[in-house]
Amino acid sequence: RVSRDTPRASPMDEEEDLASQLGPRTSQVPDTDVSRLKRAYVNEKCAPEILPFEHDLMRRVTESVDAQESTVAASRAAAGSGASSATDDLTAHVYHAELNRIRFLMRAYYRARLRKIETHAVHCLKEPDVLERLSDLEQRYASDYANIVEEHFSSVLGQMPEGYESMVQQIIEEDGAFDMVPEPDADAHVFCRVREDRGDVMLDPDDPENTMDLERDDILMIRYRLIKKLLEDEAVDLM
Amino acid sequence: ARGRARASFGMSNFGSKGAMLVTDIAQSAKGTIPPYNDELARAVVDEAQEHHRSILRLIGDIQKTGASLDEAKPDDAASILVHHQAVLRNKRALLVYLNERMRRVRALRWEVGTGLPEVVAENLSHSERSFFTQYAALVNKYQGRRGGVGLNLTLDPAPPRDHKVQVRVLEEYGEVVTRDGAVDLRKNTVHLLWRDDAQPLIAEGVLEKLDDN
Repeated sequence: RVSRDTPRASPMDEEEDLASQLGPRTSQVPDTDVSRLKRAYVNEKCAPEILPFEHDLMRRVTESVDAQESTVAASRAAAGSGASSATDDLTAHVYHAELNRIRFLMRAYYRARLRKIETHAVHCLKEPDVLERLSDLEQRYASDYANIVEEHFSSVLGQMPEGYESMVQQIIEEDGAFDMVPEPDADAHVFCRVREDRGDVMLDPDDPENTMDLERDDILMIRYRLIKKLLEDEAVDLM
Repeated sequence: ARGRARASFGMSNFGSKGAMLVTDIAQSAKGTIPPYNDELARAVVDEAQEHHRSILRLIGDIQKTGASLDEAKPDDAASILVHHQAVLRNKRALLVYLNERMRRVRALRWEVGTGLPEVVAENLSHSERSFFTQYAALVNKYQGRRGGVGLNLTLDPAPPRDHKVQVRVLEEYGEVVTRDGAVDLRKNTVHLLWRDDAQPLIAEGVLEKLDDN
């Protein structure tokens, strides 16, 4: 665990005591849609499992991007031929640069999720609490993808001896487990940054005595499973 | 009976063909897809069928003595188990082979687009070609404006730096329609294009991005 060490007995303490009376510190970065989109993308990229789809955020960002594009296109049309000043060109340039950056984040977010869906398609489809994290389009994608994979594999597996042709079970048994379905590894280690003071937190239910004092900007390297709830609560971000 | 069993197998090492199949794809260069090893894949499947026939024969022999399978001697049970595990191992080898190739076929859609170059297509099995077509369509549907997210997800594999790029035309491509109007892509000409217009053509190898120096 990497964190700042606070030396005791200094004039700083007075300031800190004052600050602590104001309540727990939370992340001070302004929470715009673009910064939320960036956080959503980075979290998605780092998490071993698929995270809940950001329905509202993506809807708002899509609307903003479309609106901004129309505005820029309209002003370009209005400027006509040769009538635009250097300022107009610079403004247009800045708008375009921003639009490209936002579009990159959107594309990267969708892509990161599709990759995970492809890797764990059957798992997503058979676990209801995972399926509900997918958007409607993603659910359809998962289902269609699993089907085309099954069709492809069956071209070979279909020739296997009777009982061995399934791609989800090693051998078909009544009440047999689906033992061939890959699942994400919730015990994979991730780096995360703490976004708000949380005080003493019990992270590992198997080791309840061992609590950690989580302060804003602390950086942890820890098993994903143990900080999953904190991530859901937006108390940490992955990095 | 032992001599007959040996002759019917025709090979001595269980799992060696499966290992060869996995080696085939594991040792190939990362970004390439070697020719589909139909002969070896079939051999692995056939071997699995042989093991299965042995299992059935062993079960039959037990049942002929009037005993139930639960009462079978440990030696016989062990034989059945070994053959069963051999089938599972062959199945795993086949799936590793198919899965890794499938992963590379998927990558083609993202790197190259919906048109499968002939040199790649001839290395794919019929089923893999079919999978590519279906996968490409699946991605298209997801990306599309109607019934999809409305964003070309194959663009911007890396964060963008400029919104317009300078490119040189490598292959005679003819006229393309861009946001600024029609542009004639004559070989060796240099153009300033919007990134979204240029990027697919750069990926295809028609245009070459010029660094701004």
